[in-house]
Amino acid sequence: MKPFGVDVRNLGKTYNPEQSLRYRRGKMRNEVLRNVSFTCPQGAFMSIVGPSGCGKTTLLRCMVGLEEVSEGEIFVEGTLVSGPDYNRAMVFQEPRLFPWLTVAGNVAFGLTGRIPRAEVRTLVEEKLDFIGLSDYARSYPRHLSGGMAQRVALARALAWQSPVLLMDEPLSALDIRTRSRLQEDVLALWQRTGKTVLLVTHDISEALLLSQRVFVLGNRPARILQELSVDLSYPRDPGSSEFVELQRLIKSFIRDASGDAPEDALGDTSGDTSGDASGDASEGESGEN
Amino acid sequence: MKKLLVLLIGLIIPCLLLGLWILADRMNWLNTLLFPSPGAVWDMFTAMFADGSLGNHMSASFFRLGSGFLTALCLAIPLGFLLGQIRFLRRLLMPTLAFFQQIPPIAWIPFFILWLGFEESAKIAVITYSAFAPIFLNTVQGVQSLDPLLRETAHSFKLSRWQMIWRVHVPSAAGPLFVGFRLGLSNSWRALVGAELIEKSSGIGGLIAEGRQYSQPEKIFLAIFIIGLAGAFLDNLLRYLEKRLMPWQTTGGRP
Repeated sequence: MKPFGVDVRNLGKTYNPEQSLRYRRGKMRNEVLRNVSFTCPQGAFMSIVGPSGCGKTTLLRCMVGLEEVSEGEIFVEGTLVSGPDYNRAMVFQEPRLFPWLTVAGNVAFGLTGRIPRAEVRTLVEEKLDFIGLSDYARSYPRHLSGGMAQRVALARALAWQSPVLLMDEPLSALDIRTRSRLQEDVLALWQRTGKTVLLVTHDISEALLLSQRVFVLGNRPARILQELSVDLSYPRDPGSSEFVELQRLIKSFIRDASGDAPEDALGDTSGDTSGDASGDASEGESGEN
Repeated sequence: MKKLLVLLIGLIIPCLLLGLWILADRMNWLNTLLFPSPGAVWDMFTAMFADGSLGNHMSASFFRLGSGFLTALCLAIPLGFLLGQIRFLRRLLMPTLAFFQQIPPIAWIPFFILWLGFEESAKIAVITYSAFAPIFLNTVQGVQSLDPLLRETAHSFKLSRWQMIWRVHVPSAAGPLFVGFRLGLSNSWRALVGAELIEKSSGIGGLIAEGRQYSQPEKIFLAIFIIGLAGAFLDNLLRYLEKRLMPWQTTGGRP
């Protein structure tokens, strides 16, 4: 059987008092994620949205292997995650380029010493060409604008050649025009490479513009509250009525999750889109938009 | 072109001072017992250069500087990396090091001589001692200044421990490290001259001691010029190396 691109099973993450000095003082257990389960087929583009501070980033960090999980398991391409590995690459919220390396050096960062030098060079040229920054190969990161730097970070993750790409709000710090250009880039790279892409974002329209499926994460301790498939063809039109309807729907989920709605009102985590759409229509009465 | 202009601007004051000195000499304003004439200093220079004694003094000083500074590098950099990485070691050693850092190297000379003898080793110890503190402290600071986000990013690319040190910690510490080199080198150059002065010997400092003993102010002046010029030369050499080795650095601090 073909393994899932990403398979998260009953994931829980708690920052224990023993693990973190910061929380020892307050004597509190800080439970961030509880019983998170979802799967992402190979080659799919999925997004995770949720109220800010709900643990989206923690979830992604667990998937990369930068954070130890407290409960449950994560499988990437059928292998258990127990630390960073070659089958997944991460694009962070900040470009995080190494200032002492040139643009080309940054793109090659994960490859150096792993594959022969000549191969590294052709791969780097290819990725730089893809993001349209071949002319900047010899520049240092301090000469780049924010959007360019993030594109280099994207190229670095691509050059890593993992089947799975994890992205933690990579476009949130960019201005609107740069962001929409990069959204097109991300979409193009997914369509061309066939990678499994998992995007964490707080921008609902970004999630709807790019992904095939959207997971809505609740408040801390976060669980998956909703799962919606976005059955619209690419390129998507943010003005279309289906798009707007989905956007409104997700917005109301998030509002309910971050508001003081009782837990059981959000209940059903496995509800599908159509069922919840009707359910939401009845309770989405507050005058947003 | 612009570099040349910068150089010329920097030479204005030295040239004025030199002109003033020559003028004062011509006008017989100088008491040559207290303040040597430019001609006397120049004659001293050519004479000592010709008979090779100047070269001997200089090579003696530079040999000490080189071996003392290299010893300091070999001690300070690994220790600095270790302390920069391990907090417990920092807490254990930093207070003690802060104490020793405050003691001018020359204060140790009597003991160094007692312990190590009148030979080269006492002077080399002074140099090592004076170069150690700035190199060490800047290494610690450089290692600690690594952006935790970059460390994490490198970690996400599955770097081994050695790759982490070589490809992330070393380049990230390179800037502060060079500041340490430059401070250490100029510290030890000054300390060396002091050491050679106190304990009469060969070397540039010894030249000053000689000049004082035989009332040859021109010899003292010659030594002062050499100390200043050689020190500035060494510092510029390090700056040049810094630029070549770290092209990513902004050229900060340059006029």
